[in-house]
Amino acid sequence: MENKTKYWKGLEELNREPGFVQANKNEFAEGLPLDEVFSESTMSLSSNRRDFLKYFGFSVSAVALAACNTAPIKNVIPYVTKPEEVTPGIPNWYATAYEGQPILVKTREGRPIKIEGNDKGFTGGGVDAAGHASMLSLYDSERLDAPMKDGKASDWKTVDKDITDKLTKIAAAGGAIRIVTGSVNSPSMLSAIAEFTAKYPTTQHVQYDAVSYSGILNANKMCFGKAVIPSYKFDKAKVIVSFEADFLGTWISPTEFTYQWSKNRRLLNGEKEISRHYQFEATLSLTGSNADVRMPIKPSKQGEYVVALYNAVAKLAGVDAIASGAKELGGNSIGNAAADLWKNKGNCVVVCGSNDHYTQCVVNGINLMLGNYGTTIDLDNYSKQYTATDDTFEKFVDELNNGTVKAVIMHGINPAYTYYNAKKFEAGIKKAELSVSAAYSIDETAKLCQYLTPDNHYLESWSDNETKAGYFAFTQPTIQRVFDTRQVLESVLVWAGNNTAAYDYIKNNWQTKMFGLQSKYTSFSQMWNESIQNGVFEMAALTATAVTSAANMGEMASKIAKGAADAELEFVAYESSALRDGRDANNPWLQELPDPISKVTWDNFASLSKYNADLIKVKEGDTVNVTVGSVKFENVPVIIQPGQARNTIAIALGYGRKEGGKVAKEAAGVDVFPARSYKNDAVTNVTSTGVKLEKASNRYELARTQTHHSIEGRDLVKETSLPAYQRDPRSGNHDHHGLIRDPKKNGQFYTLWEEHDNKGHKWGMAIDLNACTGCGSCIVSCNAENNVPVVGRDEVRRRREMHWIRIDRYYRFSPTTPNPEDKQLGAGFTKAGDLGIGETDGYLDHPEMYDHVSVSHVPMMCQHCGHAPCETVCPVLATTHSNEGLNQMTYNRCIGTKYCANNCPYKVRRFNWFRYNDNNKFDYYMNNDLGKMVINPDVTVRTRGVMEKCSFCIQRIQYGKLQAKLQNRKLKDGDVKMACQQSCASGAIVFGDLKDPESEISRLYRNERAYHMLDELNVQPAVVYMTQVRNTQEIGAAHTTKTEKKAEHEHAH
Amino acid sequence: MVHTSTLKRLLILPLALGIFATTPILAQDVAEGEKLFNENCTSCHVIDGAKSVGPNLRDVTKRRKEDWLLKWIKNSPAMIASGDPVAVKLYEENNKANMTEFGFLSDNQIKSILKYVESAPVATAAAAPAEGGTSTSTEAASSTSAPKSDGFYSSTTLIILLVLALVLLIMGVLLSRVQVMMKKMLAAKFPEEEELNQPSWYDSKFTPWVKNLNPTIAVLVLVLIVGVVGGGAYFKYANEEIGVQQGYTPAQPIPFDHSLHAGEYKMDCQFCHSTASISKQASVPSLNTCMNCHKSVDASAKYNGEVSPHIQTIRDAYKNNTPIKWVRIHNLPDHAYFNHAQHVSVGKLECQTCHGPIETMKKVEQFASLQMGWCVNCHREAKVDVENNDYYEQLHKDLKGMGRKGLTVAMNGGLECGKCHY
Repeated sequence: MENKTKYWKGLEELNREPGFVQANKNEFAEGLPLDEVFSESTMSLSSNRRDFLKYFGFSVSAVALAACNTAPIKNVIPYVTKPEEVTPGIPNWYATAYEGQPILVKTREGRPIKIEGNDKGFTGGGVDAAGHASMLSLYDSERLDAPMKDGKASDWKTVDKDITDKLTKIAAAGGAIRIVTGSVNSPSMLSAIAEFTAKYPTTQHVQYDAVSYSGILNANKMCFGKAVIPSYKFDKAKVIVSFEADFLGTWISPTEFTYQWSKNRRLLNGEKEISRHYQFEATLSLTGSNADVRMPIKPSKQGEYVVALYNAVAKLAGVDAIASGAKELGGNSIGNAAADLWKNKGNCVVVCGSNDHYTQCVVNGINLMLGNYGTTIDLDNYSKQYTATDDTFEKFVDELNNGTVKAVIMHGINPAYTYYNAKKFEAGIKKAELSVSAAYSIDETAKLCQYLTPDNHYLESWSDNETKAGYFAFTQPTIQRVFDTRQVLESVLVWAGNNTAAYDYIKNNWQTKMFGLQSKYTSFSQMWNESIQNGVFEMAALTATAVTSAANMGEMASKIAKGAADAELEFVAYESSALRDGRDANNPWLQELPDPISKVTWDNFASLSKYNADLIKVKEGDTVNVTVGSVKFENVPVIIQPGQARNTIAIALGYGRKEGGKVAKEAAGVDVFPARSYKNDAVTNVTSTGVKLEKASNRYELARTQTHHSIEGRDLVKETSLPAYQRDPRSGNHDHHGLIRDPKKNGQFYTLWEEHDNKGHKWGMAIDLNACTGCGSCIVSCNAENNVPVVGRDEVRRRREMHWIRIDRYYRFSPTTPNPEDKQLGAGFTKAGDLGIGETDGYLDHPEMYDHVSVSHVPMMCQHCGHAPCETVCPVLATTHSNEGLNQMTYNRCIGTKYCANNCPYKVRRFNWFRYNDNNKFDYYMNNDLGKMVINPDVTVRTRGVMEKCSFCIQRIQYGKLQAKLQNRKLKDGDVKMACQQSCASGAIVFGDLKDPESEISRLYRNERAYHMLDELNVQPAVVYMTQVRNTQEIGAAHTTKTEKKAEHEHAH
Repeated sequence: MVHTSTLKRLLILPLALGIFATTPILAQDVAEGEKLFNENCTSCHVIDGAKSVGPNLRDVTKRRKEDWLLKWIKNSPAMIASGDPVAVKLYEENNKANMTEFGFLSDNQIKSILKYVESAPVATAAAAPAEGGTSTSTEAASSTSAPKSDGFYSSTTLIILLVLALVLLIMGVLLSRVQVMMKKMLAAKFPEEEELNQPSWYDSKFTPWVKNLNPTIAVLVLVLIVGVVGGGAYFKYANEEIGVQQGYTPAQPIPFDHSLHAGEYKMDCQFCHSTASISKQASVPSLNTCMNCHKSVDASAKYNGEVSPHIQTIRDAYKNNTPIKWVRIHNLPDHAYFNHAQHVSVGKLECQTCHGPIETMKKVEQFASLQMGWCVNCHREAKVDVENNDYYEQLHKDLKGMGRKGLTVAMNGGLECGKCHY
């Protein structure tokens, strides 16, 4: 087995490092902490007679005393006047919007407990991890509960009076007033700001995004005369080429793009084609991990690659190439991409994550040549999610510092943390006569302000968000205000002398301004009520038109900075898909969500290529010092990231918070915002000069979940290439385990156990590996639904994370043929590339192979085996089989032997090593009354010493069944949806009743791509996986057969 | 030697205590019977005196066989329908009024009632009839009737009594020792006084008896007694601690009378507990529900023209927008999921099946133990009505094909852990 690993989760597994091998012999990383307990002098394993008598005496008297107590009195407190729509025990659903994305919120007895996607919205019913977790921020015990003045608690009356007085004085004296916010797309908010400006005419509205899209906005202004981010339609694109744009993870609208992208990756209904996705990027992003062809490139060379692609497409189009002076790059990859794009012109898209508008202009040029405007790129119904450009904020900071700005009102931003030159901002804000922050909690910026006028949580607010031009998502409150906070819209209005409530203001705004713009409704109240109920309102969409560019591509290309030398180190600050710019850093759900690629929780880290790690002789567990210009980051833990471009270092933004709450500070990490710089009217994440890397003396253990469960070289992922799939849909999924089939039992495998008698229902799940992007939204959704506790960094290090669903990420040396340039990197690469599917033992000598890996994301939860190995070993029958095919876990029976976890081939059972609620050691949301409001009342909060695992959301099954019974009807397919399933924007998870032959799940079970994980064990899981089909060139088929033969061979032994 | 003998003498104490503590246990049947009788029977029956709705019950166990009685009490209409001659005769004699079916009472409970009827003292004056007088002044009745059945058994009382007995016994022993010592001193002073030199009962009988006890057996007996008493107390404590509170009858902020609302006025349970048929919770009605009637109903007739103070409490609370903190009687542990809608709407159970004869309760008590065994037993017996709910269509078809009939909840997975615990 040693060197035959086909898929691997981490380098330690690939290299069979002794520590890893040793650690994985045990089911649990550590034994019981008995030594710890008994090390105290009073405790010893041998108790003597006196001890016995002492304990005996104590317990007898304790019992006698306790017996005097009567049972505690519990009260039941009904409403005085019951609201008509609230029924205790029945959830209410409200449509609202999270950052402009339509969502549904489930409330019980007036408190929100779960966020789900709104399938009427453009996200197709998906929600991302941050969206799910945003609910927990509502119950953040550290949020501001009342206004503050000069760091002391105050009240609204005082604060309002002070602010209005000062504003009036400043405005009268002609002093500049600035309202500084994040991107605002709410027409009502904009109208409120306009009212404010009318009252104080020296006011200007400045928008600022920590990670802005200035490059695209400016480029579109130069090319098409409008500074907008277009709507992208990845579902219409048969070929996608992305330069550093992590559109499935962080770029513009990832949930929407995941929904679109996955539509073109489906092979479930006899489709024969899927999209082909090229990704050129420096560090392995979520999007890159899902690409068919991925090329690691240095970020400074991005511009040259874009020009190279332009020229390659121009050649095919017969258009003049642009002189760039750059040597032709990319070889096969660029050539192939250009050919594919040209073949699908009008049905493809090229996107770029650069913030350099010259590069973006050339990207526009490519898309123009390909005729993508009007089809996959829509400039008419454009996105309004990000509207801020960096130059305005740059100007604002200068004005602050030269003292022209006298009053600043901030909302939704934290420049003291996110601005690249935070010191300059800090110095400036101190010069302002009035500084107000409508912060949600005390963050770095709020600390500097005189007045804090805390904003409501969005689940307590009214708002209208014009997410896209003509597309409105409404935010409506789902809970009464928890604290004495005020929605910022109202604050702005109050200071403008208007005391209208937010709801009335917005409604009035719609009645007077928006109603006239549409023609769908004739009655306003009907339009208003339906829009609020649906959560969205769409104006008639404009017909997307083709456009021409005003910008000269040659001129643009000539301005693109030349790439740095190959040997020059470069630094990239990137957004992690969970924490983004760090605004949710105080959210423990997001901190404990493993990064989709590195599987690191609670930390950021320096991502290095194997090549660079070898150069300075660091291993994982070591730390490095990274110098970026004048900024030095010390003792940053190292991750050796397969797929990382050589001579690049990447560290995630959003960590290293100095304020913002206990969890944010606990997560710590390094703050790399200062490593960014302002160039070409935009803040760039990339630094190409003056980057130094050296080994540091410290060691640091990251809390990383990736190799917590060894795969022991088993065949868990099945994949094939599109051509092979087209020839044979079953390709990559042929039986190869040589188990003996029982001719008497319909060709089933021989089994020791009796078949279960499933009456009524038999639940099953299907997971499409082709659709799953590995984003992790399902994990947070599951946490919220099933009261899964947060355990903290230390416990994750001990492999004690409690997540019921995890996403296993497997690497595989890329079987795709890399471009010739890379081929030259090491002799024997071609061979190694061929052998990338695992039969090599030469990879250790070829570090260049680490540059090209392909990635599989495999969601893993309890497989609800028909012949479950866990059930047979439980000595107390705490885990049993239901007649609906569920593997049930009964916490109150469980005595914590952990036999079941040992016997589970999928390693999905999680043990409660501690009581995670009301425990100061785990001071997260379950340790305070406010935080506990998020707990789902239908699911038990587990206590110490019991095993737990995915229950197939049995509370949802029971609820669905009950609704059917109450309505006297059959259970319909789709009535019961799992928490993971409903959160999935790509629809990778399908759940249903296998007894219903017409159900979606039954259909998927019959699909040729369906396979059971570890089929050879014949545990008869209720979960099927659909093979991963990569749209790569002709590879795969031959290899697959080879591997399968090999595997068969292994099994035979 | 002195030490041993003292120890042996001390053995007597727990023995005495043990006997003391077991006495009420023996009386439990009758006490339970009395309680059940008062709850269920008194609206129609008296034991002696003027005939109520049904026949007097004095010597009923002599008139009829126990088997017959059990059958009759559980379902009298069925017996009448089956043509049982005695049953038919009784029916005729009592103005053709059907006796309520007490199917929810167990055999043992009925036997306890019968035992109580046998042992009930001959009533003096009109005590018994007043009990059944739900139609008479209910307020007055509530102060005189409803024996504090839980009083004696409440652990606090028991513990206090035990401690008291212990103190008294110790005092008794001490006093007798003082007396003996005094005697001995006197005897030493006046050796010639024969009367004083007579050995006492204590010295001549008790001390030698104790000395002759086998120490092993004595210790074993001691351990046994301590075990029984302590174990009993612990069992009771543990039972309460795990939430078994059968018979729990807490005082409520308003002495709401179910026997008046649900019994006399025959209001449907779901008129107030309106969510029982649709939701997990049956829910205690909100104040505005009370105010639907009590806006105008003020029971002033019973209070010399004044508004009833309890109704006034409701009105005040409503006016001041302060909810009433009722004491929760039925407390399921957090790890057990129970859904009213499933049982009320789908299972079509009567509220009384689990909550007992609520319509006769002046003060609501926890009728069932709410233990898992109690749930499971019902799941074993209750039938699933697969025919009249389309949800079961497929299951019904399958079962018909298999020729099976009478599907119980248990057969449909109703005993699986995951049905109630998740």
